[in-house]
Amino acid sequence: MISPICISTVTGKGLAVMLASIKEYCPEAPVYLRGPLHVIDNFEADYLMEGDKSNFGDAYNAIIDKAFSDGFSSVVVANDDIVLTPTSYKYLLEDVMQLKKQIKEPLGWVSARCDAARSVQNIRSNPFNEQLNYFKYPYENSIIPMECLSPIFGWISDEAWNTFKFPPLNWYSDDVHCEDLRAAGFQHYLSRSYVHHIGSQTIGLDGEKLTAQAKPWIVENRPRYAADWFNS
Amino acid sequence: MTPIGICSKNEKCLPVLLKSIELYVPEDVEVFITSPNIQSLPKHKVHHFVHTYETGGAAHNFLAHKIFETHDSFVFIDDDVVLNPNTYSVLIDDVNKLKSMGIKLGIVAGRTNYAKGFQNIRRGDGKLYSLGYESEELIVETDYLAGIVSWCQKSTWIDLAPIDWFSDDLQCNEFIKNDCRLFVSRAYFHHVGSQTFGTDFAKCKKNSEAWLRDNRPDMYQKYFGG
Repeated sequence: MISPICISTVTGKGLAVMLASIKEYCPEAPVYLRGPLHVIDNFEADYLMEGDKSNFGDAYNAIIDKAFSDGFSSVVVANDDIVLTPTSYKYLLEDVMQLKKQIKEPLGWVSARCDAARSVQNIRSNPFNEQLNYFKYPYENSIIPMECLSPIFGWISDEAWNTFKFPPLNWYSDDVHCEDLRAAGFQHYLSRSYVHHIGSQTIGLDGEKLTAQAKPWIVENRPRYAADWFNS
Repeated sequence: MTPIGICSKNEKCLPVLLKSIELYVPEDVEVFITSPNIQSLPKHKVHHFVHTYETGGAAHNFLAHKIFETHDSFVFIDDDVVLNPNTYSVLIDDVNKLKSMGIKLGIVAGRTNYAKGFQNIRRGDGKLYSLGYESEELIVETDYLAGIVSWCQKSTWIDLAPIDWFSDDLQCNEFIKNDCRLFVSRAYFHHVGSQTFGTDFAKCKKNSEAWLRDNRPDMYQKYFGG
């Protein structure tokens, strides 16, 4: 199975290191890259798409749609400020293959763990209260079902993508997408795959501001989620 | 500027490390590398030496002495590391802060995703945010550090034992005996880990057993209980 890696960038800040890691560790994966022309002009990719700064959801929808329209049956969505390890892509796709054999429900997101992400997906969290085995928690070698995760380096099928796409948001675009897919019967999983994520290189760290930006759309378009997440 | 030193036996992850140095380390920082093949960077001055060493300890010692011919200190970096945009600058800031307090320093090392002891970000304290624990904002004194990304200086340097596993444990032990203090910096880096010695940790331990038994029976007792 070959799934192209789809990346959208605004500044291209960490992208050179990320692309170097793809070249070293999974050169077989085609790279689809979207961003402003003056940024993407500096990088090599199998497909370059010019696109100005909009929001995470719209930007990624455009580049993912393009990869699916080229005939791929699945894609790997990747943030532009991550770095792959030698096994990131391999383990992610191996886990997808294993899940396809084992579970009946359609697969939603299968996403990698990392060092900058929400709880459980973040390797710092220790949900089963385990002792470190040398350098890692033992559960990091397991695939875990999740209600919601961030596709920092995440696999998705055309079946799931054709059911729902990202909403036009920065923060909460992944939350809304995960909930929408779950409501449609898809199940998400945390893979054994690991990537390094610098984090907050594009939209910053001001959580209050980023939540305020997303809230009006969610209140208007997903009032049930708004009730759960914002008590409104 | 404080130079960087890298030892690489197989160069497996070296291109990604070098790309992060190219992007995130000031251009006037010199880079010393021992590896099988000649390495270069587009903007940094690179001093290359052919890697002919059996163990990580021996290669690290060679590089340290080579760099100390022209510099008083350097930042050692394992070849399977990737720097963040601020890893180098935060590490050097922390070293300068500690030096300004008159502390006799052994080594100062960064935090990471793959290490033992308090350098491992899984062992943080306080509230856990998406980008880290509260304690990751602090410089912390410790009695053990792996030199994965670490600052060291000529005036307090102690040669590593010519083994792979435990060479850093022994060095830390000697630093403390010499009243040199060890600190975990706020600097963060990504460490792929186990790319040279592999993930058969029992074998890694075993490979150092004979040398420790013959040369450091005190430490052999500590690690092998023999």
